[in-house]
Amino acid sequence: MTGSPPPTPPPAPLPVQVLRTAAALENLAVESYTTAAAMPLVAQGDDLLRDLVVRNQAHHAAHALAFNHALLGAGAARQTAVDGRYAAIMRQRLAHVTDPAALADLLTELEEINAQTCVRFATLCQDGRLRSLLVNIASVEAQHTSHLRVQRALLDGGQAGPGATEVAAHTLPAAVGTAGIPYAAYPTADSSAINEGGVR
Amino acid sequence: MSGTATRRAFVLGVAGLGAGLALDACSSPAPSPYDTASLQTVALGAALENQAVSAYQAFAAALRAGRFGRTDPALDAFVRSATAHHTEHAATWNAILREARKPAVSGIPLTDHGHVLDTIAAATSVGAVVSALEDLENRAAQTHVAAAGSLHDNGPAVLAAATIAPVEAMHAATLGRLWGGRQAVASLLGTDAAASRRELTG
Repeated sequence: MTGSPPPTPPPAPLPVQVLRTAAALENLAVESYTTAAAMPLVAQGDDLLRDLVVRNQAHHAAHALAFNHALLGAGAARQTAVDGRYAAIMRQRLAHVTDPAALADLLTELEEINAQTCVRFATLCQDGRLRSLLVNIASVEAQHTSHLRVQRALLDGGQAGPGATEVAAHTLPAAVGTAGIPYAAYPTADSSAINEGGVR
Repeated sequence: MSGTATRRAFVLGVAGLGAGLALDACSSPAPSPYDTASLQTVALGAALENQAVSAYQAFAAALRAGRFGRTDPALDAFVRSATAHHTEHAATWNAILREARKPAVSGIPLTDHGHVLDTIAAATSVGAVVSALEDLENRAAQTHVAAAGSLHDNGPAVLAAATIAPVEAMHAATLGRLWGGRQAVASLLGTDAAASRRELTG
């Protein structure tokens, strides 16, 4: 028996696609930070790293909420799934993390994807409120990358702890000063496609 | 192919913008992606970037003069990079103004600039200057977030706002983390501290 394939549903409007994908990435970030927080190297490790992980997890939960609120406002269903493109690889890589530097690197990669996706999506949307929300959230996630990169640079520099005070900062090498500000213009090369977060 | 099409559309769009503004005086308006408010927003962006360059230059001069003792290599490197970034951002905003046949903003036509320079000149510690610079960075970032929402057309100006705002936010976060003793970042950047077009003096 042969038959025609079921008709392909029309794609959701661009703002809905964008919000679904952005929310799915936030959900993945929440899951990833939750996993990180439970790792002994975080739970029993440096206070500042633990604070960073807990804080960022809470921020991503707030971002997911904001995107889902916007989805509801657009008459679309909430996005409860994690990003399908990156979920498996994130889980696999998190399972193999054994030290704070590797964790900071991995979380920086994830933050970059989220931030770059929000920046890229902002340039595609006509709705000013949505553009502003996306840039607002991208900026916070860019700040997360700054703190993670500083953390990493301090570890590279052999600092006993990343809690540099103003006095201790006098001994910091130049590379630490620029670690958190790698770009003059925020890139978008690692952004996700708009339809990656389709609700299935 | 799509890249070619995009570039072609961009070039045609810019050409239309320039022609439209140039012909305003001849009563033959052409469609323009920018209204007056949007062009003021772009000018505000350029002014804020010039202000940031000026503030960092004042700080660098103070560091070189030894006002705060031995110069921290990390801070020196940060100041150099942030100054270069803001210089580039000013050029980006000004390129948009030039494409629209409007004068570039070469100075700092902002009502508060004297106060900013006075604050840096009066500072007695690195922490005091860092605090002032953090305020500038946060204000610039929030202004660009607001601009992303208020700009009339999602062309090059929105691209500028979207790609520059996160960089200013990163400057603020790094200043606070390394020299302010703070790891505080809010879940949303917000726009409460954004500069207004009314703060432009020119």
